Amino acid sequence: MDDALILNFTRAFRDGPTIAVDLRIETATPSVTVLFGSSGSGKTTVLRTLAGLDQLTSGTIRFGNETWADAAREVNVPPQERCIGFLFQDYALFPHLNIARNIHFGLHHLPAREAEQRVTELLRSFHLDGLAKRYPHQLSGGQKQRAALARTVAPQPRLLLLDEPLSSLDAPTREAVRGDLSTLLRALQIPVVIVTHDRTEALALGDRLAVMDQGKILQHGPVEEVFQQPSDQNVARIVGVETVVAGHIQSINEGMAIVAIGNVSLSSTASGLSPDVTKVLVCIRAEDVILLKGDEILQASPRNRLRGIIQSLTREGPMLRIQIDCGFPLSALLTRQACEELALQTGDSVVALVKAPNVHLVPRL
Amino acid sequence: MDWQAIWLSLRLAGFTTLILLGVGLPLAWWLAITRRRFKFLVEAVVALPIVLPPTVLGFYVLVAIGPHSPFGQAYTALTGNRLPFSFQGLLLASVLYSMPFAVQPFAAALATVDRRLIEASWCLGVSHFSTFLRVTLPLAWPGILTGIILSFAHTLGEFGVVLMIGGNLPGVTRTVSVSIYDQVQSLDYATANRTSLLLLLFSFAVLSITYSLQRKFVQVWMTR
Repeated sequence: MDDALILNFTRAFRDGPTIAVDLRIETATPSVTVLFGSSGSGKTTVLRTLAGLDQLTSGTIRFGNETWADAAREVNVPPQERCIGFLFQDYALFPHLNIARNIHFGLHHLPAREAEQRVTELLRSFHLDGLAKRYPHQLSGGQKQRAALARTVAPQPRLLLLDEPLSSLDAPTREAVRGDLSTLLRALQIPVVIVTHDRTEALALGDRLAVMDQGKILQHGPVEEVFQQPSDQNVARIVGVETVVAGHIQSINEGMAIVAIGNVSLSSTASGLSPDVTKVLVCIRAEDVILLKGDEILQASPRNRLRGIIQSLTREGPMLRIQIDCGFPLSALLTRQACEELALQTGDSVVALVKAPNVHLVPRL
Repeated sequence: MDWQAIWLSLRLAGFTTLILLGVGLPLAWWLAITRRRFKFLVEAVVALPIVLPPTVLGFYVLVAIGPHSPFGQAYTALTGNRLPFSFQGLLLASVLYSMPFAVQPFAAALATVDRRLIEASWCLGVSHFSTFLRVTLPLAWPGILTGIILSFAHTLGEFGVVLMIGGNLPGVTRTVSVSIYDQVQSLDYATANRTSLLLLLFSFAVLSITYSLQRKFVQVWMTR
């Protein structure tokens, strides 16, 4: 038996790109896999075929030792029998049922008493007490999201599928809900697949990242690895050229956070960071890194001065991508002219400057 | 007033509507979701009674159920009765005649139900049939109600088809519209007026209730 969700299929559309997916998601230890890509990259189709809502053109989907779909043998287990939870982008709450009835909807197999009890528990744990008798149109965006999640997890699915779970919320609500969602996903202890085009969402929620473009998965690996070492230019373009490293918050003072990455400390503006966060992902866009040659001492405003050694220089169109080891791997993007003026070469020691507002912190659990 | 005819018409309309619910809902559901190419043919056949003169429909039904047709012979062999000029024959014709007034609103209502709600129900482990009962029907209810009322009212007012295949047998096939025709023929304008007025008021009341209910429901659902 295989403790994995294995997708190996194609799905052709009459007038669109063919989706061809080859992905293996280990399920022995539950993890959150993010399908990341722009709209039209086919990620929602992958989620729908996983749920059994869309058919395969060829290939198979296996979950553990079950075959969910096999185009050659015309096997397609219906969604009802896959025991999955699917959260729709706009939540798809039943408009004619109140919140309690919505959550109760998938519990038809339980005895009435038990089902009622489960609904009450879920209402409490999703902070929906007092809203049981409200109808979906009477709820705020965040409440709708929680109600839909409660309904999705009520029947205790074996696999959770989330389609852009935060995209229909306004920005401030999204910030707040993201943290809750992250906590919940880890507490559930089941494999989760999330579809998103939002980088912060991917960084905050995902353990692993699968980057999709034009119907294909370009790279699949741990979130930090994919962001740090895009396998090619396409992936780099999609995820954005970024430095992403794990760090710990050391202190937060007057809106400035000091974050430690190994032995290196960085300053960051801590706007919107809740004080009980300790683990974060530190993100620095390569465009925001300024390089100075050698031991040049300069009066400069950036808070963060990092000494490092150039590891590699790679051409990217009119730009040069420079990998620097400064206690952690840092990516910088310079124009070719700038590099020539500085005469940068592999092995040179440089000073990298990053303004505090350009050090973005994404809370992690 | 010809109470016997009124009662017969009500019975005919009631049974017709019941049968149309049973036959029309699955047909409408199929029309709402199918992607088959010959769908338009089925739609055209269902809509035919709207444009066809009732006499034409009545004539073909009469031929089809007559003692010389295989269907008519099979019915007689099975039940010992004949379909033409019987209540059952009239019922069959009424179902065909009122079909578009049930199926079209049903199909329109079912098609407006958000597909994702249905898929959400499937993903929660609820079967296709239960999903139809628990999600599709309640959400399509205003349109289904319209279909029920329209087919009831339309059957109540049918005349041409009744004359063609029902004739004018009191208590068996003499419906209220035929009765009014008879009253006018015998120059009994007073009775004809009373019966007509009753039918007019009834139709108006039923339609008013339908539209007011529909507006209420539709508005509530639109905002959700």
